[in-house]
Order: sequence, then C-alpha cells, then structure tokens
Amino acid sequence: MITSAPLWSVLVVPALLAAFAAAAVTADGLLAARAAGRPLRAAVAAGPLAEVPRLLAGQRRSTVASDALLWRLGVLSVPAAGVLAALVIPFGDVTASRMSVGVVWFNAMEVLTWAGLWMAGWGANSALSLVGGYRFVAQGLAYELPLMFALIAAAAGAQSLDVADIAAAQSHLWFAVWMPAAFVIYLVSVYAFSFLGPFAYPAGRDLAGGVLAELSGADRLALEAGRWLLLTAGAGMAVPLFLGGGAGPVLPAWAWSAAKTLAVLALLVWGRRRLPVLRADRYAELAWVVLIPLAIVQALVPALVDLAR
Amino acid sequence: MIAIFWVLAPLAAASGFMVFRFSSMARATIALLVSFLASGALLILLGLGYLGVVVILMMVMEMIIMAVFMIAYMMNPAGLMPMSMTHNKPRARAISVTSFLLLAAGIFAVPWPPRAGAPPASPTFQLGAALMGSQMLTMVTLGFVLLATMVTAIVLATHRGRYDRFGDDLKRRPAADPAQGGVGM
Amino acid sequence: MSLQLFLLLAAGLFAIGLYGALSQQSIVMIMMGLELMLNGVIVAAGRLPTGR
Repeated sequence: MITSAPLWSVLVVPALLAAFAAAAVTADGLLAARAAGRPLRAAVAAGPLAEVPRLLAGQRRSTVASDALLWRLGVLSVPAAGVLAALVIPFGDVTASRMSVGVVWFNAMEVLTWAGLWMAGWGANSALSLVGGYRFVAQGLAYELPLMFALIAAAAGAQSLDVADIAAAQSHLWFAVWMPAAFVIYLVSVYAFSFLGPFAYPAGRDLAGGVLAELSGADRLALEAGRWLLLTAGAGMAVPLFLGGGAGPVLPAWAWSAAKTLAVLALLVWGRRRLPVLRADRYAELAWVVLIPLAIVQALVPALVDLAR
Repeated sequence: MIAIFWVLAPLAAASGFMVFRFSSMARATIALLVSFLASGALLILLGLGYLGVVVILMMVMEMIIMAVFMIAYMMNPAGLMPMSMTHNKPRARAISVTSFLLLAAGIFAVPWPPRAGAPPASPTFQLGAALMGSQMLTMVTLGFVLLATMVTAIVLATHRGRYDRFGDDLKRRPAADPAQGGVGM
Repeated sequence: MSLQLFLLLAAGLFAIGLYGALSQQSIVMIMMGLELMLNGVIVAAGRLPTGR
C-alpha cells in the first residue's frame, strides 16, 4: 500500500534523483571510456562528476543583447521539471506526493521542458542556440502525442490516474508484458524529453552544442544536469507504470524499486551510445502517421480487457 | 489557502496585463503562459486537480507553439526597439474599464445564495458530467469535427497539391516533398 | 467572500483580455487577448461549482 510521505520528503526527492542521475552519468562515462579504448579506472568513473565543481566555479557567460530573464528562466526550468516530475514517483512504499492525477502531473512537468528549452534557445541571442531550441520544439511535437497515449494506455489498464493504483494493478502481470507498444513508445519518449541519445539533436554537435552552445558555468551545469535528471525521472516513472512498482518476492519494496529503476537506467544509458542521432524531419511523419495510431490501438487494448472483465 | 490565492491572483492579472506592455514578443508569450500557469494553480487549489494540471499541460504546449508563430509573424520579436502596434487605445481602455466595473458591480450586488449542500466527492467528474452529460455524443462528434476541420484547413492552405507531390499522373512514389524522410505516403 | 474574490479575478482577466483584443493591431496579439478572456472564464467556471 503506497502512502504519502510527510512534507519534508519533498526535499529528499531531488537528492535521491540526483544520486540515481549521478550513477547514470558515471555509467555513461565508463561506457564512453570503454568505447574510446581507455582503461576503466576510478578516475574515469569520477570524471563526469568532477565536472560539477568545475562548472560551478566557472564563469557564467553572457552574450550581447541577450534576453537574460528568459534565458536563465529557461535553463532553470529543465532541472526543475525533472525534480517536479519525480515528486509523484513512488519509491517502494512511499511517495513524496500521492496525487490522484499523478500521471497527468508527470506529463505536465515534462512538458515544462518545451518552455524551458525554447526559452533557453531564444534567450541567448545566438543563432545556433536558437536553432537548437526550435529543434527541440519540432522534436516535441513528434514525441508528445505518442507519449500521452502511452501514458493513457497504462492509466486505462489500471482505470486510474493515480500512480500508486497503476503500480498496484500489476500484481498479476506487468503492463510492459501485455502493453509492449506503450512501453517502447514510453522509453523512446524518455530519450526525447531529456534530449539524449537518438534525440540529442537540439544539443547536437553540428550546432556547436545547440542550446548548450552559449552556456558555461552554473547555467551549463543546470542544463546538463537537467537532461540527466529528466532521464532518471523518466526511468523511475517507468517502474510503477510498466514494471510493477516495488513488487517483488524477497527484497523490501524500496530495494525492488531501486533495482528496477537502475535496470531501466542501464538500458537507457547503454542505448544512448548505440543509437544514432535522428533529425526531427525524418521521424515527424512517422510519429504522427504510425506511432499515434499504434498508441491509440494500444490504449484500446486495456479498455477492451476492462470491458470484457 | 487564501494566502496562496493572494499570491496567484495578482500574478495572473499582472502577467496578463504585461502581455500587452512588453515590446518583446517572446516575453509577451511567456507572460501569457505565466498567467495561465497561475490560473491552473488556482484550479488545483479549488480541488479540481485534473482540470488544473490539464490546463498547465495544455497551456505550456499551446504557448510555446504560439511563441513560434509570434516570432515568425511579428515584426519586432525580440523587442530590441520599443514598439507599439495598437489602435484606438483610449476607447479600448474605456470599454474594458467600463466592462470590468459593470462586472464588479454585478459581483458585489448580486445576492449570492449560500451553498446548498457540499462539493461532490469528485468535482472534476461532476463538472464534466454537468457540462457535457446530456450532450456527450455531440461533444465526441465535435471533437472529431474540429480535428477534421483543422486538417482540412491546413490541406487547403498549402499551395502544393497532390499533382505537385505525385506528378501529373499521380504515380510518383515517394512524394516529392521539400522535407525528406517520412513514411513515403 | 472567496466567491466574490475569484469572480473579481475572472472579471479582471476578462477586462484585460478585452482591452488587448480591442487595442492590438495584429491578429496574433488579438488572439492573446482572446486567450486571456478564456482564462478569465476558466477561473470563473472552476470556482462557481466548487465553493464551500
């Protein structure tokens, strides 16, 4: 039975999220080192995390005639979106905020990246940065509706928008097993809203970093950390939505939640290096003409199952 | 609760007013977004959790798409020079102030009856049922008609037709589109 | 009292939207005014059935 934790747990959520994100970043660093042929040492594992104090101490760049208000606001909303989205994720048997509309809250908080990245791209008064921001809007238009229908499929399977109910409804069979299309669409969308992996196009190397081009210092740390926090929040949300939450035989619920989250994170971090970066115009038509009907049909499956019951 | 209202309500009204004061179109759109976020938060405060979160969700997406159009179509998107594209400001101000005073007079003069009963257990569901319950089929049909209208309007507005895309005999596959990729339809 | 405050906010948003819709020259800004009017109606429609 998932209960809502007391109010101070809202402060624990960013710390826990940051811990999992740090694990993901470390794994990514180790995979990068192995791909480059370098030996795996502890210094390599600590490498990405050593960026944190370096960026914090670095000078924040300001450009000419930049819209500083929108720029900083946009950059800050990306990690804020990750943390806010993680508020409804149950960790074992506790959740920081048990909302009756938890799934919609998660969706609304990850949509804040639309606003954040567009503002971060616009505010810098730099052409490459602007192109990066617009690339994210194009990507967002493609992934958002399939993601919404995938979330609706999971919610329809449990007949509730409460994340705790969705986790509890998987006691017989995980949703990832009988709603595989929704699970795959969800994982792809996690890459998309955290603009990592095949959807790193807004921060692409052909744009000198895109939205990251004009950022340095604490702003760069905020946006880079925001990407990984969003990936971690997405991975964490996959667990109660599709993988049964904290249910499991021997270990306590929080251990199962952590293990499943780490498994999904490992899959996402591994896949990040394996998949090429896609341009939005190549998959926009696919997303609208193929993925949306597929997601709608997938959402029909739990509805029919519920009618038959 | 009333304290949160006194934070959100002036925020909604002030950012709504700033929409028409900013010279920068980007800031005007974000100000409208802030106004909508404050209204969404007020709806959550009133107990309509689903409606409030859905307002936040929809309005973020809508405002960013509107920002793209604002930057594309407005001539001074960054507001680097002060700009004023208004007409008839004094009369518009008079009309809006008059309508606000009339509405405020009505709000304070109407003897609002005390609430008979309590709010229902699930206010969102009850609100939806009350608004749409007797006309649910109409609402569903309206949704499809709106979608069809949007798609039709876009198809009619593009100046490239199927003869441009598929050739004079309508047999060229894949279609000759400026944006490559896609599923070859 | 709370009902009147919410309705006052709704009327205020509506009036600001009306000002914008009447005074702006470009269609996009007029649309922003219309959106603000809708915002006011949303707040009023949310408050009226849920009071205590």
